Amino acid sequence: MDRNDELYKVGLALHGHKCPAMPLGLRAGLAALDALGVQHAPDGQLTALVEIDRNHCSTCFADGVQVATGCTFGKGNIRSLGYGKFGLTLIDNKTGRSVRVVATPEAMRRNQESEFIQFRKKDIPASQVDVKLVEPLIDKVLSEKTDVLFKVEPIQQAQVPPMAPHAFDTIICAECGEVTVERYARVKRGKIVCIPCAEKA
Amino acid sequence: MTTQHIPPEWAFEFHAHECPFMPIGYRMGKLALAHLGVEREKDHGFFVFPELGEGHPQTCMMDGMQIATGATYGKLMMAKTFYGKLAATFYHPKKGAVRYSLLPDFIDAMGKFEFFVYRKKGIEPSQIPLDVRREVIQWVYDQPDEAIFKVEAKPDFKFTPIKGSFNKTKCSGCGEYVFDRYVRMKDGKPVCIPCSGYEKTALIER
Repeated sequence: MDRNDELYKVGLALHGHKCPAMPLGLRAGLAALDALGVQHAPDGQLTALVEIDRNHCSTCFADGVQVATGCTFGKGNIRSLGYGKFGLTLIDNKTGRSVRVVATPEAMRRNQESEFIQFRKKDIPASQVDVKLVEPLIDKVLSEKTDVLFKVEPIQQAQVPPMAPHAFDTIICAECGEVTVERYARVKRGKIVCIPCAEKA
Repeated sequence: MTTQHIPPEWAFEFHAHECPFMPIGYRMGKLALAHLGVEREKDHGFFVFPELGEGHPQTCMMDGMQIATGATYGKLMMAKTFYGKLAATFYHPKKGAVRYSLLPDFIDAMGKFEFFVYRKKGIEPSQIPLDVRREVIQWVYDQPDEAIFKVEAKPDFKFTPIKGSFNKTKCSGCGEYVFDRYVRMKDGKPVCIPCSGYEKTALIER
């Protein structure tokens, strides 16, 4: 895989800057799809559990996972476990088969010791760093052997709770007049309201 | 008149199915960028706070917002409030904030399309006939902005992100890297949260 690959181009268009973590997420997603022998999810067929949390570097990994697996924030089938780690567990919701793919210390170290990251540590945005520093990192991630980048764990059977049916019923908040999904409606002094209106005095 | 804010081809590739909500979120994001006078975000300087929850079909709007604004899930520029509302606040630290919400009349009119007959039977969008999907998508494109959105300036909106961390440690249990904020100590050794056993493993919520 290289930078002319369609998947990388979609990833870059979404992500907005060149960095090695987004492509690493692409490769992780592809490795997990390959291990399970499934295609990426047009709807909610797969669930991705990423181990990143907030406010640390390389969370861009999760954008690559979204693009490769079709598990997107909007569709609600990607979730963060908040471990501050670079693992991805991909679950086939139909069969419950799941696989965890985790970046090796070597794969993380290469990027961590790069000149690119020295700029990032100085709070220089990724898009402002010379592309000559980051493109070799991206090329390395895109072309590297899967087993150098990741540990692919054995396939396991995940406990997947049955999917709750989608809610289609909505209410109109009695205070602000806005549409609210019924499950999120609250009662305030006998009136049906949305959560922010319920929390106002 | 048909909107100029129609998602590019790669947006549909990313979202992976054609439905009306991704394009609505895309349009909301494009309008919010224009309202605030900013370009699509390359890095970490623009925030979106959608008020959607989970398990309702309109959440696909958030993929459109990611696509339009560059405030992506992976960059952690997007956080849900779980209000179950069809709205989002868009925030730029220097340009301020604006909130867009979908008008009840628009939602009611859209709900009459055949697309929702299929969805209410639990049929996933990719399995609905394409002409049924494209009928409602085209209708959305043809609605004027003011028939879809309520727009509110939010002059008092404030949000202070936490500074990022680059320091990490190898877990003495599994040998994997952990960012320092998440390192726990067990028997005098640094470990990751799952190896520590201190905090219950996150459940897969659906």
